[in-house]
Parts: sequence; structure tokens; C-alpha cells
Amino acid sequence: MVRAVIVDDEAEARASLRAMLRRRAEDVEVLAEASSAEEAKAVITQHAPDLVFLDVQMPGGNGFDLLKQLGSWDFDVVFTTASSQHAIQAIRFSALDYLMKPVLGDELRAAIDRHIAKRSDDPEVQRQLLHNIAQPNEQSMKLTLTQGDRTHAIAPAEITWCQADNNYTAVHLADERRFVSARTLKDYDEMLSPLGFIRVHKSALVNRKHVDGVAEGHVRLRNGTRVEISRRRLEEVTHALRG
Amino acid sequence: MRLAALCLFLFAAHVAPAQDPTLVPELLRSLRTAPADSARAQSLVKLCFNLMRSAPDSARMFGEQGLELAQRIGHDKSIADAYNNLGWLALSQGGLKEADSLFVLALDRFKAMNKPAYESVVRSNMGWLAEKKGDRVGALGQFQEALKLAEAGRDTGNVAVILYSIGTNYNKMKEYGHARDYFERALAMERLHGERLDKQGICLMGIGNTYRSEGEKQKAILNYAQAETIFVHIGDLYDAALVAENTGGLYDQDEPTKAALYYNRALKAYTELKSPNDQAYVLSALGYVWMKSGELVKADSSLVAGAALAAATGDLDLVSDFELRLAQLASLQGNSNATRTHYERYIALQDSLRSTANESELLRLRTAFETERSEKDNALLRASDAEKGERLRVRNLQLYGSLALALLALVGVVLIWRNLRLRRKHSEVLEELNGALEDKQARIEEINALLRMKLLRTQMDPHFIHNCLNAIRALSLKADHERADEYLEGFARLLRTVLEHSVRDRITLEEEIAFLKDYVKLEQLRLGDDFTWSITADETLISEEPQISSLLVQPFVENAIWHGLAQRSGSKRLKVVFEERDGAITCTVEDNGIGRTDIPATPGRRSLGLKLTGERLQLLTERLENEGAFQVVDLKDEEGTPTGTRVSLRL
Repeated sequence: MVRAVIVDDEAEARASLRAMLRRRAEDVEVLAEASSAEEAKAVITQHAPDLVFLDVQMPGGNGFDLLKQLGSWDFDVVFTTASSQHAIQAIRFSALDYLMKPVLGDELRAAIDRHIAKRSDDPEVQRQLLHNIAQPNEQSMKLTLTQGDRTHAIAPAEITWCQADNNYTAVHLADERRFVSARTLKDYDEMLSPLGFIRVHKSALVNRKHVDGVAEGHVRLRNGTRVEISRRRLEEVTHALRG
Repeated sequence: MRLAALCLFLFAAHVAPAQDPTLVPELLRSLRTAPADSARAQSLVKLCFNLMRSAPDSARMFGEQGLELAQRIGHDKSIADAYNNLGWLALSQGGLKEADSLFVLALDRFKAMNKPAYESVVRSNMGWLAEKKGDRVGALGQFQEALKLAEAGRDTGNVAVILYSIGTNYNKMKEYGHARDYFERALAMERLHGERLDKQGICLMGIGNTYRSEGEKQKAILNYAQAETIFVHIGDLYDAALVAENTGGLYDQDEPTKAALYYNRALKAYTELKSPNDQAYVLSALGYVWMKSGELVKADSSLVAGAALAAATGDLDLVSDFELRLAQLASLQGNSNATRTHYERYIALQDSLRSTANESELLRLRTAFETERSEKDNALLRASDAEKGERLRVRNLQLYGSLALALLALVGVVLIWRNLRLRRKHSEVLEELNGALEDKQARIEEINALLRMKLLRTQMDPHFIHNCLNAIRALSLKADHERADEYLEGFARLLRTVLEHSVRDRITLEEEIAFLKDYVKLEQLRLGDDFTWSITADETLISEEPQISSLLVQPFVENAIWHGLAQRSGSKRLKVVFEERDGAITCTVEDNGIGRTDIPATPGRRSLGLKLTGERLQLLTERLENEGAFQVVDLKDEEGTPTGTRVSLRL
């Protein structure tokens, strides 16, 4: 049984999430609700939940403020947000989970399944999240990458390219290090395309900062690596890298 | 600029006395074995001559040794030769004063020996020296003198060379008629006595140049053609390429395609000769003529290749030239962003070139001043007795020192001021350009924003929204929570996707299909079980993750459902297929509805929907240029009764 707490300033949103959990997630027990960061702190201390559904935007201290005050925490967080590009990027960069409002049933179920499969209450990840939230934009945020049981914080500028490998992604760095991440290339594409990363192939995403040139249907990186451009994207990619 | 470079090249390669470094081993051997000092002195001087270009430092050493030995044994011919050779060395290394005095010494010796042919060689060297100093008239005088001497000495080879040299001088003085006379005389001499065909080619080219300068294109082309034939015949690829390039230059205004032919010929030779700088120049010219003849793709590839070469050779002038050409090309292609980028680079390069030029000018002035000052000091020192001279020197030094400082400061101020003024002028132009571009960008943004709003409005047809809300309300009132929730969730998902897609230009095919399925599922709830549908795409096509324009297909699906199927009784079928045809992704929306020809004559909602879709498509087609092309086929059975509609879209 997953023991959960719902934090949201809107009563309807709390009720709706509770009702959805009742219908779709019988393995989740809602211990309590909180309507502000202040209240949430008390509720969390009292119930020590496994999982907190945490609204990002709340008047008088948002979800992030709560976490900042806690410094570190021993529960999983699933953020809920209506729309805030900055917050979503910070969460995704930190490899944490979020739900877009209005919450959809299958997405809710998937988030709970992910929590059950793997708890992510790594203090290093939590520190990264707090770091990323404090950044003015994604340029200075860091990506959380896990290798074995060690968590690394990687600046996007260090990444030369990402390579899809089924549902995994190999992330190549300028210093020749290589990480394998359990997230899809599509995830990385969505996160990194605002930073000038270009999808050159269905299985490759390159950082244009590390691109040396385009030749013979390949992107040549500064370190000499050649990455194939898919036929369909050749024109678009060539244009994007040149212009 | 390019033509001047050619003349200089010709001078160096063909007109200068022919050194032959392969003779060096033989000479070294005779230097070791020759018993007589006079033979050794001659060998040393010859070594100096033959090593001049390939190893100037060794040449100088041999020359000086030869001079010393010849002076010791009093061998006049070797002394004079040594002076002449050392003078030539000094000339080629920029020591003009030294060269001058050495040539005078050589000339005096030869004159005393009564050897007009040798005298003539020194005279023409003095001619080159004068020319290098920029003294054209002096040069002409020396060459004329050399010509007289060579004729007296019956040295026909040298006569031709001198005639050619006089021609180039007149050419530079823009006296093309005179220049041509001399080139033609040189050509006649070469044809009569010459052993080397290449010299005839050079003369023909000189004649061509004069015609070209006079605007006599046809005559110039004729001479160039002859020259090219000669160079090709003797296998002198480089000169053949030079001539082809010049010929191209004659055609590039009126017959760009023909010019391209010649440029390509030159390019091929330069490529073979691995001469990147020349390749870059020709590619620049090629880019220009391709642009002129409207061959933008070819122009693009020439310019891109050339720019890369230019960048590799580090010739900033050329690189900036390419940036300007690329900017022109981008503007012809209507790519304002690239135009701006290239133009900015061009301006930046020009600025840095100008400041480098200013710096080197400053350096030159400073050096010239220092040299002059020290020479004046020396003169003063010699002119006065020691004590008086010392006082004078100190005073003059102070005077010149302060004058120098003042002058340097003045020059500095002037240069800085000029630089600043240029910079200001350029930044004004740049700002103006940026301003114009920003305005344009702002307008595009504005249009995009309007489009987005419009998309939203038409995408979320108010009737569709009302229908959804009514359906949800009805289900809630009936307490059918299960279906109410299902409906609500579908609606929420759709709303979210539309919001998300409307700010993106391109989405993946998979996303588009998911969106269409969400939409059709909602309609299914309303239309009931009579309605069957399929949305399919080739699996491999989906896995390639192609990108398509967002929100393009849904209006057609909506149209099929609302206007084709909703009004039909009985089974309603909708089929949407994505596939690849002729390299483009095509979407076919097919329904078995009432068809376009059977529209009930009730206007109102229907016409509004069509109008909005039409308007949106028009906007989209404008935005996507030819991407939004679509076809409508009215399906009929054998009797001609409408059986539905099929719309095909190229995405």
C-alpha cells in the first residue's frame, strides 16, 4: 500500500485527485490533504508518507518553497502543475516526476507505477532539484544522470550527443564519459531542444555547440565523432546547422 | 586586384633571369676541383645566381665569397657578376638602397669592360628596381637604355624580355596602345628567335590584357584564346588556368553561362594543381556568375566550397568577399536571417581588415620615420666636427625627438579618429539594417501570434465545445459517472494537446495520430455505435519519427464527421491513412458520408465551419507555402450516386 498525501491549495483539485485515486489506484491510500506549504509541513511530519502529490503553484509559499525549507526529504514527490515551463524543466532536468493538470487517469496510474518500481528519494537528486529551481533559466540547470548507484549532475553544454538505445539513451559527454539513462531520447529531445540540441536522426540528438560541420549525410562533431543524419531530416538539419 | 596579382606572378616566373638549381651539384663539384682561383670565383658567383630563389641565404654567402675572391685576384667579370647577383638578391629581399648601389657598381664594371649585353641585364634589373620603388618613368628610362644595349650586344633573348618589361610598364601607366606595341614586338622577337613557347603565351596574354583594359572584349578574348592554346600545348596548366580565369572575367557581365564555363576550366586546373587560394578566387567568381544567371543552387555550392577554402587559406579579404556574396545569395533566396548573418560577418571582417591596415600603416610610418631620423643623424654627425657635432646632435635629437613624438601623436590621433569615424558609420548602417530586420521579425511574430489565436479559435469550434459540455452534463444528470469521467478526461486531453500543438510548428507523426484518435474518440461518444473508424499509418514510417505541421489534418477529419457522416443515416465509416508517397507524407481522409454534391441547402453553422476551415487553410498554405496542398475526390457508385468524399493532403 502506497501511503500518500495531497498538497494543493484548491479544494476541488484535491477532491478530484482523491476521487481519481479511488477509482484508478486502489493500492494508494490517501492519509491526509494539505492546502498550503505550511500545513503540508505539519501533515508530512505527522504521517511520514511514501508519496506526496505536490502542487507547484500555491499562493503564499509554493511547492518548491516547501522542499527548500525541508532541505532533504524521505518521500517521493509527484509534482502537479497547470503550466509553468520553468518549473517543468527544473523537474525534468532533475529526473523527477510531474503531472500536468487537469490530471489524466492513465498518466496518474503511470506515475504511481513508476513510484512503486523505483523510489527516487536520493538526496543528491533532491539537491539538484533545489539547484535547478534556483536557476533563472535552463541554460544553467543541470541534468541528473544516474550511473550504477551514483548520481551525477551534468551541465547540458558538456553533452556532445545523445543516442537512443531501445528505451534507453546513451548520453555522450565532451570528456568522453558516457552515461546510460533509463529515459527515452524523446524525453531528452523535449528537454534539450530549447538549448540548441538538434534531432538529426530518430536515434540521435546532437548539441549544436559541439558540431564541427555537415558532410556526406553525417554531422561531424568537434571530437571527430560522426553521427548519421536521417534522409528525411537532411535538409532541415543542414539548414538549421548552417543558418 | 586579382589582375595585378597575375602580372606580379608573370614577372617572377617568366621574365626574371632563369635560375636553375639543378646545376648546383655540378657547380659545387667544380668549386672543389677547379685549380684556378678565377674558375672558383666564377663557380661561386654562378652558385649565388642559381640559388637565389631556392636558398637566398646560401646564395648570399656564395655571392659574397665569390666577390671577395674575385676582388683578391682582380677578376673583373666575376666582380661585376657578383655585384649584379647580390643586387638582385637585395632587390628580391626588399633592400632597395643596397640593390641600387650594387647595380651601379656592376654597371660601372661592365661598362669599363665594354660588354653591352651584360650592361643591358644590369640596366633592366635597375628598371625592375625603379619599378619596385614605384618610379615608372625611371623604370622606363632604364629599360629603354637596356634595350639599346641589348640590341648593340645582339642579345635577342634579352631584347624580347626587355620589350615585354617595357610593355608591362606602359600597361601599368595605362598607356595601353604603347604597351601593346611593345608586347607585339616582344612576341615577334620570340616567334623569330625564341626557344621557349611559354614566353609567346605570356606576350599574347599581355596583349589580351591591354585590349581588355580598353574594353575591346572580342580582341582580348582572341588573344587569350591563343595564349591558352599555347599553355595547354606545353602543359603549363597554371598559366592556362590564369588565362581561362581572365577570359571568364570578360564574359561575366554579358554571358554569365559562358563565363562559368571558363571559370570551371580554371577551377579544374587549380584543383589539380592543389592551389587553394586560386581555387577560392575562381569559386567566388563562379558564385557571382551563377547568381547572375539565376542558378542559385550552383551558386550556393560554389560559394560554400570557396568560403571554406578561403577560410583555410586565411585570406581575410577573400573570406569577407565570400561573406558578401553569400549575403547577396541568401537575399536572392529570400532567406533574411542568413542574409543578416553573412552581412554581419562581412562587416566584422571589413572592420578588422581596416584596423589591421591602419595598424600596419602606423607601423610603416613609424619605421620610415625612424629610418629617416637615423639617416639624418648620421649625416649631421659626419658634417660637423666632433664637439660641435655632438652639441648639434643632442639639440637636433631633442628637436627631432619632440617633433617625432608630436608627429607620431598626430598620426595616431588621425588614425584613431578615422577608425572611429568608420566604425561609427558602419555601426549606423548596421543598426539601420538590424532595425529593419527587427521590424520584419516583429511583424512575423505578430502574424504568428494571430495565427495561433486563430488556430485555437477554429480548432476548438464553439459548437464542438458546447456539444462536449452538454454531453458531460447529460451524463452527470443521469449519474453515469463512469462515462461522464471518460468524456471529461477525453475533453481535457484534447484541450491540452491543442494548446500544446498550437505553439509548435512541427510535431511528430505519432503525436498527430494520438491527437486525432483522442478527437475521434470524443466524437464516437456522441455519434454512437453506428460510427466506426480507423486511423492508421505504416509502422516503419512512424518509427522514423517524421515531423509534420501541427493541426493540419484535424479540420478535414472534423469536416468529414460533421458534414459527411453526421448527416447520414445508417453505418458511418471514417478511414484516415498516413503513408509515404513520392518521398512526401500523405494523409488520406475518407468517409462514406453524404458527399459534397448532396449538401442540404441550410446555411448557418455549416457555412461558418467551412469558412473557418477555408480561412485557416489559406493561412496555412501561405505559411507553409506548398506544404498545404490538398485534393478532394467525390466518391460515386456506378449510378453516379455520391458515396462519400476522399481528401488527400501532402504534409
